[in-house]
Amino acid sequence: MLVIALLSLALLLVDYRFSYLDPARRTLSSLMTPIYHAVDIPYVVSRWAGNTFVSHARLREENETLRARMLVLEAQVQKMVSLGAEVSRLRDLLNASAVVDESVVVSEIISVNPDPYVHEVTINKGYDAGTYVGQPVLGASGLVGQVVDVSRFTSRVLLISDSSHAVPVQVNRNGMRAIAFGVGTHGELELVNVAETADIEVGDLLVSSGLGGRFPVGYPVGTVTSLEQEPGQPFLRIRVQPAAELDRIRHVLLVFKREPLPTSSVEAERGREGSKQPPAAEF
Amino acid sequence: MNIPLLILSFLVAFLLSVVTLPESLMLWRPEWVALVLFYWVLQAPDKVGLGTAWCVGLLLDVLEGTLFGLNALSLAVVAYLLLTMHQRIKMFPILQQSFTVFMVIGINLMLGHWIKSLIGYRPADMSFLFPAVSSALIWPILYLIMNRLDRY
Repeated sequence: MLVIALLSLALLLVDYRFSYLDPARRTLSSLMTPIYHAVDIPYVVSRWAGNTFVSHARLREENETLRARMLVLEAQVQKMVSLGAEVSRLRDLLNASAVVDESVVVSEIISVNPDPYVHEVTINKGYDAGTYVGQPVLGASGLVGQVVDVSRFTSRVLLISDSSHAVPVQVNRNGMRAIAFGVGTHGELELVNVAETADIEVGDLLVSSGLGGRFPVGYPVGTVTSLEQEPGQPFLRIRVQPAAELDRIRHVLLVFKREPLPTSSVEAERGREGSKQPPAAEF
Repeated sequence: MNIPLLILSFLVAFLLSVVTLPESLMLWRPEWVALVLFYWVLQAPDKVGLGTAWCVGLLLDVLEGTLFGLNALSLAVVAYLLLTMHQRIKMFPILQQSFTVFMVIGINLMLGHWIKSLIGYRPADMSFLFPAVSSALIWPILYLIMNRLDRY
């Protein structure tokens, strides 16, 4: 018993302090992948049944709405392309570094961490698909979290609502910077160390500021739902509702940073040509 | 001892310990792996012991994404406690066995909780002990099912 206890404690220490054990964990984790998939079977079956036994009329209806939605989104994208070009031209004039271009890969959540105090999910893309530790993860409506551990076919994503997670954000209205901490419940984040005199209101949209260097700039993180001012406390107590439905989403987007566009204008043109290809997307 | 059943039961226990549950039930998820280990240590104390417990614990660590060695240590402690008193536990009526399950799994959870708080997880209330209660409640059923399967 003593030997085993010492061995476990040694393992714990080594795993906590150093990264020597990562390859072992990766290999074991890849071996355990079938278990995650087995757990997911009921959902896969129910979705398959839902897709297969559906009426023709409903499918057509759904098709209509999707088509309409696609049209709207395409129109917006056209505008975005010209705006993006304008932004990088203006940044060129200012001699600022070019905006990093991003591409995304769609991935599916296949399991949720069984520990109710840890907000972590497992997704079905691993290092075979190019996932890396620290990679930002988005949902359809906002920031979801970041990759903390990759194995061959799966990776684990820490959600922004986990109590050990923090995102650098800024208020979309005026650019004020703050840090949004998770508090351990799905529908809530907290802004810390915001002075009482700060210009922030209920309903303000918070977007990622990209200042930590980990998350891309400008993705919605949440909206402010309440401001509390406690007498005697130097800072406001600010609650934020995350933009992404962290406990309900099924599909997430893994963000891959591309090389920054070259700064000289001729090169920039060429770079823009190159980046016009549709973003990598897999379903 | 029935080796295929042993492997199968641990596989099922792994499945059940990561299967997605509604948030309200998450707190009450029984410690399936510890329960199955409990059964096998009682059945074959000369074969299933610290080594098995430790290896199974390591796999569980990988599966749950906890620190390497956390479940390994706490499951080895479970196996050790059971090995020191398996002859008595076998004689217990089923209710008393359930109580033993509650105590032993409680110790298991407590150890895990201590290690987690040491490395800086936010300390919660006593709700981390709920699985001990649900495990104790489920023990008689699990014991009957496993015993029935074991006879084939």
